[in-house]
Amino acid sequence: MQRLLATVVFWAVVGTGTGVAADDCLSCHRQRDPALVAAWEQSRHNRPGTDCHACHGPEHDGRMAARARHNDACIGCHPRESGSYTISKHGVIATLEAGRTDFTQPLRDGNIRSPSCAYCHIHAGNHAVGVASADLDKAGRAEARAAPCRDCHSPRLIDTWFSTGDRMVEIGQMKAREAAAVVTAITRRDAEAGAKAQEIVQHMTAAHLRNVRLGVGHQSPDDQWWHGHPALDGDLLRIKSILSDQLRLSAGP
Amino acid sequence: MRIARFHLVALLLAWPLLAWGGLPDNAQGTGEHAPHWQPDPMHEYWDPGTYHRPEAESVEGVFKGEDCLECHAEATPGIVKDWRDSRHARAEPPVLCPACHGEDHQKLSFPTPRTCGTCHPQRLAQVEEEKKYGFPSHALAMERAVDSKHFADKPKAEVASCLQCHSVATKCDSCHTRHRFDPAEARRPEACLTCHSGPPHPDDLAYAASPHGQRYQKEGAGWDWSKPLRKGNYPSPTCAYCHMRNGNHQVADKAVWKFGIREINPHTAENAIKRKRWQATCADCHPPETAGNFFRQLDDERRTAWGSLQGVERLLKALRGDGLLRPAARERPPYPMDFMARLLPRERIGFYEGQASAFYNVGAIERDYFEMWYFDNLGAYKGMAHGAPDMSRRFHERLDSAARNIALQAKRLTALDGKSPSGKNVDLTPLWMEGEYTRFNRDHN
Repeated sequence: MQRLLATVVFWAVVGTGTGVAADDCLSCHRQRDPALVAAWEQSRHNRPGTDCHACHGPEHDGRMAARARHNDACIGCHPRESGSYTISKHGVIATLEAGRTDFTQPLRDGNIRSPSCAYCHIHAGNHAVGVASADLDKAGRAEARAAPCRDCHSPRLIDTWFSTGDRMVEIGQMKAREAAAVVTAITRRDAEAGAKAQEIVQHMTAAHLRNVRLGVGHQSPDDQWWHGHPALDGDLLRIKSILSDQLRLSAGP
Repeated sequence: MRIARFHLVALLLAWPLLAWGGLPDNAQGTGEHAPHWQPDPMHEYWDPGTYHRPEAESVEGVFKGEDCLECHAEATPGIVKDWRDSRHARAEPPVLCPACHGEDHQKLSFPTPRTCGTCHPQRLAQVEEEKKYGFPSHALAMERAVDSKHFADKPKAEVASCLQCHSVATKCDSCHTRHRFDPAEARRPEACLTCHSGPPHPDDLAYAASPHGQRYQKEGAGWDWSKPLRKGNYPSPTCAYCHMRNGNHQVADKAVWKFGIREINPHTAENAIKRKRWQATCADCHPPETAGNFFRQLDDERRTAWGSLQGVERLLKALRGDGLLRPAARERPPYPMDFMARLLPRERIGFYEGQASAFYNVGAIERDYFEMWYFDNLGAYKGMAHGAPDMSRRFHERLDSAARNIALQAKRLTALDGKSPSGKNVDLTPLWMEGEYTRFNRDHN
């Protein structure tokens, strides 16, 4: 939140110079870069408050592209994702390369030593963030996901990693489903206890399972493991313990 | 160039159709529980010395000298750029791709520490020397991972996450990231933190909270990281400055408190030698009394933490004696290799009974103790050991609160038994042995 505030204040101050209103960007760039604008329009970034300025800043000063390629453009809105990335090897290298990375280079061909947020998510300048996954078939999704990795890694490693990563997530989903089935049994016996257990299941999905996904996507071991799988295990067994006590109690004196 | 690009695109599109190497379907596990598990395909990349199989039928040919660079500048430009910035590229003669990967594209391999040791024998010898000190050490990290019961038991795609850090034993690029392998990068604390973070080893939080780490955070970006880790070269110590003093890649010979994971006698003859080694490290900046006082504080902190843990262990063992721990040992899924545990089932309490693997196949009270021991206790240790006493105090508060919570649960379990004595006879096997994940876990080792 502080970061977001700082970003807003920063651009409010800087933006008083040769600022360009967001709508004005589109009126020119629809002519100059129709494909780029069309990609953005169908992206998840096309929403109130996330216009061109949000990542590029309002200054038309020749550094607009470089600014948006930098991780600082993303972390204000994506603090949790950025935390997962920062502790990964890619993120560590990015931190250590700070000040030595040339962000005027396009986001392709391994131009940046370690991939930044935008290098993978807006690879080769493709602004259609978040739509690829919804609109493509399975093979197309796999291709879109693997493209940035191939600038450095072998296709076989990428393929192996993503299939293991997908299974890692699926196994997490199994834990959440097993827990949900136990909650149904708890609720049948005691609605109040069931509601409490249901909250735990929601936490499993919203927090731990999300961490596994972030960990897989960002190659972040802590999120896959400590904040992911064993955390899911803990909540699953806590839910089972609730039913365990109910069953024990129902045996009577 | 256009033709080369066409071939490259064709190759990439056809890639899934080509038969490539990788782990055969019948690949077996390694280590103590080898007969009981099969590796995930990713294991090949984390332990290439054991599991890598060359990529067959992709590109044929023998490539020498700079041949590789021609294609790979196009195929994988990132790693070629990285290598060009490395000392390997600047050396006379340069260390080219075949030196580490081989020349025959049908038989390429990934470098292991032994490969790196061909040119860096002293560093390899230092890493190997760790093995005589036991765990914790980098050199034994992979062994430690695959020999744990939960690793053998759990689905391998799930525990593939463990290998990312435990592969520090089987590859050098955990710290010296490829393909630049810059020592200046490995000297910085961030190089350690991808693995030295998270609940059981929050070294990242501890260092950041310590005066040493605070100075690094303020000034570190401007320090000259090309300098060796020697006295006078750095205004404040980093992880490697103390743990890899003078660049020694053997990090285990000062391990007195053994990660905080189990109770030790800090004053054995062996530990006296190790304490002297620490004292000599601290003496780069501090008088001997300062280090001595610091160790005493750490000894006291450990004694308090262990007192608290032992109290809870006694409580849990009493519940075990009264048959109040559910699932009872016979009701919980056994590890695949545990024949004895099937004959003589027993709930595992504390480090010496194998608590480290008992975090998913237990009831809530045992899991709470696992978190108390593994998370709160180790946070308290890591804080104190890195000169962050405030952090240590916060984790001691969590230890105390966990102990109180477990005591309350114990009371509740005892009361439950009073209310429903015949509940002891209820068979909870279906609840604890069944379920979508539990079944999948049992069927996938």
